[in-house]
This record gives sequence, C-alpha cells and structure tokens, in this order.
Amino acid sequence: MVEAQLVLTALMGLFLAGVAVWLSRIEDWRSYTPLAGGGGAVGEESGYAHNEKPSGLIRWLTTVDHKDIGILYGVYSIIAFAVGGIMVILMRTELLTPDEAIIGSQFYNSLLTSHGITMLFLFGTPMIAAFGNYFIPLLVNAEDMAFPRINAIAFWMLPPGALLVWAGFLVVPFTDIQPAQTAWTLYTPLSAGVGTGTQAGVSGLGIDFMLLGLHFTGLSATMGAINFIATIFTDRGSDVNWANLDIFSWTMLTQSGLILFAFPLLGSALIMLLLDRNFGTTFFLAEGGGPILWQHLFWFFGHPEVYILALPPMGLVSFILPKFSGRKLFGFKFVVYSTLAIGVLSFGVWAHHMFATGIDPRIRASFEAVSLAIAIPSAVKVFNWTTTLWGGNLRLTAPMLFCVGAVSNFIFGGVTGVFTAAIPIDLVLHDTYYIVGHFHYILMGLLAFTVFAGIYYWFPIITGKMYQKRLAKWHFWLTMIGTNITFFAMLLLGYLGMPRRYATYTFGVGPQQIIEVLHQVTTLGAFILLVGQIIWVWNMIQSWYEAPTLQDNDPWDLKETGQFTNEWGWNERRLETAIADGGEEEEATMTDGGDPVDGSADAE
Amino acid sequence: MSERTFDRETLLDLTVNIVPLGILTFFILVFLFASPWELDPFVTAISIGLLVVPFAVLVLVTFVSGRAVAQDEQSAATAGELSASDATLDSGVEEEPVSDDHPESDAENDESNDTERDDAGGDEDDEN
Repeated sequence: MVEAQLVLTALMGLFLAGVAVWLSRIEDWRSYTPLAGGGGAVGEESGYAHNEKPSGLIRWLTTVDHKDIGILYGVYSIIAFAVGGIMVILMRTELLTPDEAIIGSQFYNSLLTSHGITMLFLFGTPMIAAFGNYFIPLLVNAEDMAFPRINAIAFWMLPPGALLVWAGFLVVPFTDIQPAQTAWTLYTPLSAGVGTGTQAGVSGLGIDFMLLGLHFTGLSATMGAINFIATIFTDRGSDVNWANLDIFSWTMLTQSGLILFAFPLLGSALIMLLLDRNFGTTFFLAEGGGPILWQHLFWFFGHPEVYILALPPMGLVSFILPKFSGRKLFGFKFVVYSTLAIGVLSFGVWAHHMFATGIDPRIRASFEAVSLAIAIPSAVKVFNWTTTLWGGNLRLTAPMLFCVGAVSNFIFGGVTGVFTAAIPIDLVLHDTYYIVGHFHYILMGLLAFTVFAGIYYWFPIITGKMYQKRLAKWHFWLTMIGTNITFFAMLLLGYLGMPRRYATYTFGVGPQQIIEVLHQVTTLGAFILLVGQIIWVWNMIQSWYEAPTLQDNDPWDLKETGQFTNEWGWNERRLETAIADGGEEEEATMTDGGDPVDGSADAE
Repeated sequence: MSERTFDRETLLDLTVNIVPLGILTFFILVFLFASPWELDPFVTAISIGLLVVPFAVLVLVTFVSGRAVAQDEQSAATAGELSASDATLDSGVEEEPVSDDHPESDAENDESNDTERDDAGGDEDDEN
C-alpha cells in the first residue's frame, strides 16, 4: 500500500515535471506574445507581438502591459476602498447611540472584520501595487515589468480573493453561513471554530471563505513583489543605477522584500488554521500549539505588513513633496538608508502587539527595545520632509496639500505609536480606541493621503487630462478635517477607557456622556470623510471623461526646478510619437527577441 | 576598494542607521548587565537574540546598500552619466552635498525663493 502510494507520488512528480518542461519549451515567459514559439490557435511566429491591443473588455481581460495592469489594480482598489468605506459608515452609524439600535452586534462584528481585511488587503496593498505597476518600469526606464504575465496573474488573483473575503455577506441571505466575525486579526481559538457560536460549524464557513480569499491576496502580493524586485534589479535602464534610483522605487524595493518574507508566512499560518478548522489538527488549540502561537505567526507577518503599507506611501511623499517645494529632497540618502532600516527592524517588533497576552516580561522588554529603535528611522523621514519644505518655494497644489497633510497625520500616528511601544502604557491602552486612532492616523492619514497625492500628481500622465482644481481642494480639506475629527476623537475615547471592537457602549466604563459625545463626533468625522470621497470620485470620473486634453506635458513645471523625472520624460516621448503619427497614440510595439521598435507608446 | 568606497560622505550618510544600532546596543548592555531578572540561559538567549539578530541584519543591509550606492555613485560621476533627464536625482552627485545637506547656504536656492515667492499666491495656475 505504502509502496503503491510512493510509486503514484513519483509518477505524479514525473508528470508535473514533464508538464513544466513542455511549457518551458513552448512559452517564453518574458515575452508579450501570447504564443511566442509560433503555432497554436491564434498566434503565429512573427518576431513581433501585437501592434495594438484588442479593444473593449477583451483588452482589459488579456492585457500584460504594466500600465494597463496598474490601472486595473487602481480601479480594483478604489472599488474595495468604497466597499470598506461603506462598511465603516454602517458601523459608525450604529455607534451613534450607546445601545444596539440599527444594525445589530453580529452584523457589526462582521463589518468590523471585513472592513479591516478589505482596507488592508484589498485596498492598501493593491493600491500601492497600482502605482508600482504603472510607474516603476517608467521610473527605472524598463520596458515593462520583468515578468509581465506573472504580473497579470498576480492581479487576476485579487478579484476571486475579494469575492471570497466578502463571500459570507454574499451568501448570508440564502444560507446559514455567517460572515466572519473574528476581527481582521483572526485570533484563535475563536477563528479556529472552537465552541458552538456562529464561528463554528456550518455558520462559520464564512471564515473558511475569508481565509481562502486572504490566501489569494497573499499569493498575489508575493508574485507582485518578486516582479518588482526582479524589475528593479535586472531591468533598469542603463542610465539608472543605485545612486540615482528614485526614492519611490527604493521604497517599493524594500516593501517587496518585506512582502517576500512576510506573506508566505501568513499563507502558511492560514493553511494551518484551515487545517485546524476542517481537518482536526491542533496547531492553534490549547492541547496543541496553543492560541498564542497564532498570534506570533500572525504578527510576524502583521507588523511587517504595517510597513508594507507605510513604506511606499513614505516614498510617495518623498517623491512628490520636493516637486512642489522647488528643491530636491533634503538628505535623499538618509531617507534611503532609513527606509532599509525600517524594513529590517520591522521583523523584530511583532510581539509589541502581544504585550497584553502575558508573554515572558524579558521577551517583552526586547520587543520594546526594537520598537523604540524603529521610531528613529521613521522620525528621520519626517525631519527630511520638514527640512525640504523649509525655505522652499511651496506650491499648494492638490498633490502637495495631500503630502503635507500626510506628514502632519503621520506625526500624530507616529508619536502615538511611540507611546504604545512602552509596555506600561500599552498595557493600559491596548484594548482601547487609542490603538484604533493610532493606526488609522497611519492608514488613513498617511496611506490614503499619499494615494490621493499620487493619483492627483500622475493624473495627467494616466489620463492625459487635468483634474478639477476646486473639487480637489474640497476633497483635501474635507478629508483632512474628517480624518482629524474622526481619529483624534478616537484617541480621546481610548484615554477614557472605551474598549475597541464593541457594537455598543452601554457598559459602565468611563464617563458615559462624554464617551457618547465623542462617538458621535467620530461618526460626524466619518461622514465628512464620506462626502470628501464622493467629491473625489466625481472629480476623477468627470475629469477623465470630460476635461480637455492637456497640451502641456509639464503641468507641474518640473523642468524649471530640474525635477522632470523619467516617467514625465516617457510621457513626453509618447505625446511626441502621437503627434508624429498623426495625432493618435499608438500602442507600444515590443518584440519577443529583437530590439524594441518603440517602447514608449501607449494606447488610450 | 572598501576604504575608498566608504569615504567621509558615505559614512556620514550611513550615520542615520547608527542611531537605531546605538539604541539596540544600549538595550543589549542593559539586559546583560543590569537586568532585574535572574539569568535564565534559555530566555536570556532568546531575549538577547531578538536584539542581536536585527542588529546584525541591519549592519549587513546598511553595509551592502551603502557600498552599492557609493560604488555606482563613483562610477557614474567618473563617466559623467548622471544628468537631469536621465535620472530622478536631477543633478549630478557632486552637487548633492551642497544643495541637499546645506540648503540654507545655497545662494541659488535662496535667490529662486525670493524671486518666485511673489508667485506663490497664484498657485496652481497650471491646473484647470
């Protein structure tokens, strides 16, 4: 019996190896050409790939162009951002009153869980990949990403991932299956299906869906990271070297390194949890590895994830802010080396999320030390940004406003983080709204703000149009005011002892009336944010469709200050090519073996 | 090669990572010599390892990246490759210490500030 299994395994291995060899013979993985070797149903050997992309939906379903994939990532992320935003608006509406009045605690818990997962995995990481995909090859003068098809696969793993993460909500009207209600941290034993609550048995299948969805997003992020690393290391243009690599590429490179080490661990932990839930293993049960093992594995991924979401935004600020300050980034190399330092140290701080779990105080002390050390490189960046602004010729355009806002919010988020790196303070504040306020200052205040800055800054390249200035300013001020009202009130709620994750606050913790008012203020801030984002979406869509085409390829006057970087240079060549061709922009023509005929064009 | 690669400017740039290394060193010494807990070899090894491993990796990454940047900087400066249109650092590296690290003393910057500050009120003329 055992021999038969071994033989079967060996045969299957040989078969898979044969498939791999066969595929490697017929496919050139780095090529644009669907069937590079010739033959097949639609391909033929030509030495050239397609001259133009197919039109309509087929273009978007089949594209391997890094710019198209960047746009796909962006649209996907914005949809996820909207879904996550609607979820939190429902939650904040529930929290207007202390008791369970509007959506009920179970639905609240489901929304809480999915809001976190959606914003981190379906909005944050993919949105950064959107910028990376569109602009990293342009910034480093590469023809495309190193592995264009893997790039496409990485993106197309995300939609099924999102559907699985939200599957509980989609099936709950028709089945007994409940959406996951574990919070995004998926702490065991609750998430392992222990007990008889809604998270076990059939009703807990929502968690299984969510775990599988998370696994998809993890695979996607890992593939993307490998692609970014390979692109920056091997596909740089001859004029781009380590000394003049732009700061955004540096942060993407560091972030990709973090993803490479962090996400596979998350994948392993998710599989272990699935096995615990469905196959009777005891990795995270008290009789086996114990619930704290999950927290160790999760946070070993989870804290680098924080920097996976924060480093590229820092790169965006470092990249965009000098453009509107009329001068170069102060201490460019300080920012580069501190980025790398954050990348390294981020793997040594994971248990500061677990100070309250009762782990050995000597171990806790070590994590506190590294947590304090990692504050330095983060602070260095703030000083560099501030010094860049100091005495600069500031132009308060929308991308600049969002950058300055991001720096301001990051100071709030960073300083509140330093406090909680200290064990005694963390023990008091850990399960309160203080933590929620702290990390939202980073995720909304830094990540989302820099995403907006990046979108406004590169809007002319992506669309060939300019956004509407007045609406952009409304968007900024509503977002800035909304963010600070919402999350500062959360910090105060935390100081008053309001525990997080609850749908109600009728229990007698702290001064009830003040807590109620602060919750209402927080909800007000969330609604202000909602209005701001609606204005933004309107601005983007209307400007893309209706704004006149830009005639000037230097809308930010970057040439004046010598900051006309590679992506704008690429855009200039694209526009010149379009004029030479008779006014229509032609698609890039790449070869699969010879020299590129024209690597600078793009279709609209 | 190594001594020439890590010249004074490069070492100055790398000081940014020496601060967190210093903090880690401080805590390693404190936990070794002023620990309030009694010495348990297993826990102490883990506790110190949690500080030493990030320390060592940070030293390594700083060294490797510093060397890569400095070497490319030297070779590019020799070949005169860095130019405004070619790279995202928009001027040659030889200018960088002046314009980046001592902006207040940069007369050209100050002049441009003075002349362009008048235009600051009319920001975003380029947007529609």
